[in-house]
Amino acid sequence: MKQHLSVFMLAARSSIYKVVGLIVCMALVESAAFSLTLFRMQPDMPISLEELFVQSRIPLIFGISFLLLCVILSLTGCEYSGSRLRYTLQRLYVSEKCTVIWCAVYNMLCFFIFWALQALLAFLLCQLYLVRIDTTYINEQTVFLAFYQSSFLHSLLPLAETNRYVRNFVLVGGLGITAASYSFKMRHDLRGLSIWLLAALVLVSFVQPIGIATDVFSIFCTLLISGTSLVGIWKDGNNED
Amino acid sequence: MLEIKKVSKYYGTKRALDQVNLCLPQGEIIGLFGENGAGKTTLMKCILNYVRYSGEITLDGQPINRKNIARISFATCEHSFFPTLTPQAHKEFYQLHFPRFDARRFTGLMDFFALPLHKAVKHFSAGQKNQFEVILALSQGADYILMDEPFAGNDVFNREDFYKVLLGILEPHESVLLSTHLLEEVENFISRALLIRQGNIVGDISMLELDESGKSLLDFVKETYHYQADRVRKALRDLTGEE
Repeated sequence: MKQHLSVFMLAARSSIYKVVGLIVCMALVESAAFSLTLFRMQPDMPISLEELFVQSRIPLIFGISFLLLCVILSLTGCEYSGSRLRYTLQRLYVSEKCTVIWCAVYNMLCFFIFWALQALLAFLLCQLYLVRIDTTYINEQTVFLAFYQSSFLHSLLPLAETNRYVRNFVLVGGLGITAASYSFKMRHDLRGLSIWLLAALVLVSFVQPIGIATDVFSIFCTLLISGTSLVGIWKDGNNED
Repeated sequence: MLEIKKVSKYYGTKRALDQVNLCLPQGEIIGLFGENGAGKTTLMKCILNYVRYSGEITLDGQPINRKNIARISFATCEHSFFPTLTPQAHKEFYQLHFPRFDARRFTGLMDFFALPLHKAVKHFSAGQKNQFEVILALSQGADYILMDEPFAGNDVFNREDFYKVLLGILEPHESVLLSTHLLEEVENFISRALLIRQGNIVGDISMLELDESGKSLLDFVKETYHYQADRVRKALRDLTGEE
C-alpha cells in the first residue's frame, strides 16, 4: 500500500502548490469583485443577490479558474519539463495503469475541493450581502431564494435537487479520470481531447436552468466520455510502442 | 545473464533492429557504439520493454516483466527523473519501489558530485541533471545498468570523474551497458565493445583481445565500418578543384 500511496503523493507533490495558489487567487479576485460591486451599489436601490453575483462576474471568474485547474491537473505527469517520466513509471512496483488511477483519484479530490470551496465562498459572499443591505430589502429566505434562482449558485449548491448532486459528483469523477488520461496519452505520444470536451460540458451545464433532462444528458455525456478515456488507457497501456 | 535472441524492431516500415543476438553476462562494463540512428537506444528500449519487438529477451532465463524489471536500471540523456521532486524525495520514492535501492551509494554519490539534496531537480544545471540521472541508475540496486549517452553535455573532467567512480563502486554482479560516441574516453574503462550499424551487431570484441591484437578501439571501429581515410581529401579536392 505504501507504494500506491507514494504514487498518489507523487501527483500531489507535483501540483498541490499550484492548485492551492489558484484557489486562493480565485477567492481573492471573487471577493474583491463582489465587494467592489456591493459597495458601489446605491443603498436606496439595492440589486438582488443573484444579480449581484452576475454583475460581479463571479461565474466568469469561476469559469476561468476552472479551466486553469483543468490545465494544471492535465499537465501534471506530462513530459513538458524535459524528462521522460514514463521510463521510470513503467519500471515501478505499481503498474502505469494503476498510476493513472491514482492520479485520477487525486484529480477528483482537487476538483471536489475546488467545487466545495467555491460553494463555501459563494455562501460567505451572501453573508456579506446580508450584512451590508438594509434589513427592509432582505428576509430569512434571501440566500435560499438566490441559490434557487441563479443557475450558477444552484449548480454549486443544488439544495434539494438530488439529480444535480449526482450530476456534480459524476462530473467531478469524469474530470478526474479525463485529466489523468490526458497526461497518460501525452506520455505515450497520443492526443487527449476528452478533458476539454468535459470542461466545455461543465461550463455549459453550470449556466443551464434547473431541469432533470439537462442533468441526465450531462451525466450520460460524462459517463460516455470518461468511459471512453478509461478504455483508451487500458487499450493503449497494453499496446505500447 | 541477459540474453537477446533474434530481436527485430520496426518503426513503421523502417527497420531499427535486425535479428540481434547478444549475450550480456554479469560483471562486465560493455561499450555500445554506433552512428546516430544505428539502433543503440532502440536496443536498450527493447531490453526494458518500453517498445514492442519480435524475438526474445530474457534475464536469467525469464522474460523481462514487472517482476524482474527492478534488476535493470536506465540512465538516459533524455532523463527519467521527476523534475518537481528533490533528490531526497527521489530517494524515498525509489526505496519504496526498488527493494534493493542502495541508499549508502546514493548519498555517497550525491556528496561526491556535490549535488543539493533538498532542491527540486528541475532547478539543477544540465550537467547536474545528467549526474543525478546516473546516480539514480547506479543506486537502484540493479544487476544491469543501461546508460544511453548519460553525459551528453557534461565537461571532460566531469566525465573522467564519473568513469573512475564507476570502476571503483561497481560490485562483481553489476554490469553496465554504456552507449556513447566518446570511444577514446571509455576504451580504458570498458571490458568489451559492441558495434551496431543499421540495426545489426557488426562487431563484438573484448578489450583483452583488442589489446593483444595491438589495435586501439578507434582502429577497430574504423576497420569494422570500412572507414575510408581518404574520403575527406577526395571531398575537399572535388569541392575546391585543387589537387
